[in-house]
Amino acid sequence: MLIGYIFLTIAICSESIGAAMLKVSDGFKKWKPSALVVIGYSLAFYMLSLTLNHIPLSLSYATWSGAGTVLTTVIGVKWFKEDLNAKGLIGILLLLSGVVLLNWP
Amino acid sequence: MRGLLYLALAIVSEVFGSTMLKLSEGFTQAWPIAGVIVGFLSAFTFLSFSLKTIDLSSAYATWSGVGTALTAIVGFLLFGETISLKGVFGLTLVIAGVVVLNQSKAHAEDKKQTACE
Repeated sequence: MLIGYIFLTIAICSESIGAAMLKVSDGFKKWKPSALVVIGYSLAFYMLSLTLNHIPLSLSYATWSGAGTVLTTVIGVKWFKEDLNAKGLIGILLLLSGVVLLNWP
Repeated sequence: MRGLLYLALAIVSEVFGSTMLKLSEGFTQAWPIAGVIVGFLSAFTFLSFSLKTIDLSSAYATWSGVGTALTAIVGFLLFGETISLKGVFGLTLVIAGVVVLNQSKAHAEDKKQTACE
């Protein structure tokens, strides 16, 4: 179970890095960030497939997409100075409470 | 109408991809690995087609929300996974959160574009 969560955490982080690099790559015009997009997403899917050997699909997939969306938003706000309106904040709160509730033993 | 069809295809492809991800048993089974790649590539391609007629906020929020819900249902029906009442609440909150957050982001993008014009 613990090893599953380690894989899941890496899957979430690498997906968010891939998404952030997607923005930096400027429509795949810059090759270094573009390479990191491919590496980030490949690692994310590989780690998610390893997660599925330990944690049920329904739980892993929801946690992955939920936590990945939150982390990508946080990166967007911190690094790219994107705005987060009230609706976005409500979405994050819903996501965090949902992810915690799903994974609480 | 055509946009909705592409969106439906994008969702079905994503769920196919996530199901194959489970069947790949940690990326060790060749056919499911091919299924993962085909599924997710088609998902993004169909999603981009749907954006020609459906605005990004609705398309992306629907795609991610319904994709997550259907993947969970596949888990219950195909792989015999079980879920507690607490789990149902958690799953509902996650899906609602993904939809709300993605909608808010896309609205911000719309505003930016309007400002640029």
